Amino acid sequence: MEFASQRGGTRMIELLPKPQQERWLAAAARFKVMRNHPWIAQRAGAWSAPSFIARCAFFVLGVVAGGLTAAVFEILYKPEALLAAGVTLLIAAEWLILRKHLFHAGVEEALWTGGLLSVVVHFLPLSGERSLSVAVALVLAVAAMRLLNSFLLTLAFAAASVAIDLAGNHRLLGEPDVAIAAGIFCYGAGAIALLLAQVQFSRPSHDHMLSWLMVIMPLCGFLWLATQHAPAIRVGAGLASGIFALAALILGIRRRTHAPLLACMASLGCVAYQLRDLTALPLKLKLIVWGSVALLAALGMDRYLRTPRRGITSRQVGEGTAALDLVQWVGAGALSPRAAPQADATFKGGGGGFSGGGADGRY
Amino acid sequence: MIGTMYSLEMECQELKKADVIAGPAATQAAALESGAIFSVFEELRFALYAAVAAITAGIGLLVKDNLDRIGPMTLIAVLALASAGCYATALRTQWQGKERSIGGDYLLLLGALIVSADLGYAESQFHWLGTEWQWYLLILAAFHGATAYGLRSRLVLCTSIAALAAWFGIEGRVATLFDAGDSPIRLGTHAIVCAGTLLVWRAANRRVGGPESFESVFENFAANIGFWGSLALCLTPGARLLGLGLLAALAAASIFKALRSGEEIFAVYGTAYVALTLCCLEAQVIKYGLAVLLLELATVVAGALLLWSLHRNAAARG
Repeated sequence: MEFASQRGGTRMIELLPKPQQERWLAAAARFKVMRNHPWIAQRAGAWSAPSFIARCAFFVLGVVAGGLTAAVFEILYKPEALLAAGVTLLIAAEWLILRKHLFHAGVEEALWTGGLLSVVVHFLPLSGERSLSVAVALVLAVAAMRLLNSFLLTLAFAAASVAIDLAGNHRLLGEPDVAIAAGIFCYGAGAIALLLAQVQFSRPSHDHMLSWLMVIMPLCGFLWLATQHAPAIRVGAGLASGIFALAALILGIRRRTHAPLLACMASLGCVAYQLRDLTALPLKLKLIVWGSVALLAALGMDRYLRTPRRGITSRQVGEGTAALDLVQWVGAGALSPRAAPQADATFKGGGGGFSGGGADGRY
Repeated sequence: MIGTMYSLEMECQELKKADVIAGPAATQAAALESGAIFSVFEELRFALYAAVAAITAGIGLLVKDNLDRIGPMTLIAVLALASAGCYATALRTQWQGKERSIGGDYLLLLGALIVSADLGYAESQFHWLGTEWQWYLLILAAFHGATAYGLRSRLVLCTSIAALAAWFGIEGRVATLFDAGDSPIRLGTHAIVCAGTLLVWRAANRRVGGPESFESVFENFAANIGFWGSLALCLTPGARLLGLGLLAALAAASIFKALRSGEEIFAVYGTAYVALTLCCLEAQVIKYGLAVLLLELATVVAGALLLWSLHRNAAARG
């Protein structure tokens, strides 16, 4: 966007980093080069993007700040509180983007989305859940496009599926036909994302959007259909997840990309859930047997790919991701039993849920 | 977090030409970007975790439901055999002088978790420790700690730390913090002592030349447990000053660590935990609605600004 400058000539306001600038920001993150390295700074322009961990923290702080701002306006300007708060948040977010050149920093994403949502809710007639879900879907989609945020776009699609379910004044999680429509929409969105991912996009964020959609939307579709108990729908949901998993696996291996493989794993989880009644085994044995099968399969894969096969390897290449390591440690700790059993009836090992030992053993 | 499909091969080549990245790292990055190498390490890690979680949950239910049918001795023996099998694989790899794979790591974790379930079950059946049953958690922590050092496993170290935290009465759930009944001071104090113990352990690890990779595990657990402890103390009317003092000390230590080592997660701990704690404290102490909201808003904004300035500082220092 060009504006006349006071000194004559024109001054450029950048609404977003250019695709090449965004690529350099992504390259700095991926190759662990300092973002303010002269080489990177020259190519990324004035834009700055924090790491994934900091982005999450900023997003949380942004959400809290947005909520508090809305609460302050609620006390000060009660009738127009949402509008005033929304406009304030939008101005703050745009200031952070246009003046401070924040991109994917978390805080501006939370403020922008919260601001637009407040403004829209202010003008929205209180006519029911359907209009609200449509409005939320549109707000999230607009925010996703403005901020190039894959998470918001996925939420927009999920909200759109809620709107489809509510269409025709049906209640949420209501009649089978409506859930089928919402489920088909979600599976369709995932499948289209999977197909579109063949296209090489210049912006990494566009690629991230497709990645999120292909992983999350089939899961949403499955959740819509899993609420239905009709045998045909159960079989259909299992088949849809199975077909999607197979397609994602083939495309993931062919393209050597991670998102389709993750989509495949998530869809396989859905298939496993649908097959829960295949045997009459009790839940504990199903968990042990199927867990062991999954463990053996993963161990076999690990062993097979230790020597790279056509370039595919199970070894870690390069440095690990700090965030994933942290998640892994917390996950390992979470699986540990956290208390000693005192009575047979309450014992639950392996992540058992009752309180810790401490000094007195009270739980 | 989801993997990317675009290729930064061109950027990689330019960085390599300009010597911004060099040596094996550059070659590796180029191979990854061109698709010559494709690692499914993270996918495997996810699958292995899901499998271990399912088996552990199943064992938990099995132990709970089948006591009468199977009998305690049989169950204890079967679980011991299963865990021995898992440990044997790790021991064999160690004796052969090979590097343990991600699969081996998770198999070892499964063994450690089965030992935890087995020992817990045995204690519940035979009451070896009587009313002092909680000491079994310390025994478990020591056993897992020894195994972690013997087999150099960070995952087993995590189970050891979790058992130690459980011995201190820390459950690891946020809800307990706000629903601690009459003992938030005790919960907070125990958490602080637990965090301190972990830091002492870390210092000892460094002194005796233990694995360097263990240090970040100790530090992350100590920071989180310590901050939750100080939050619990800050929310307790009689212990607010102590809680605030500890919060300030922990925040300073975290930020110092972030600045010194460049680990951004500690800057996040040092700012986000403090902002969250102060917001909760302000809501508890100040009664007037608008004042508390404005103060909380100022606190959150200050926290965000501090985090941003730390981020810039870390970026400048590399």
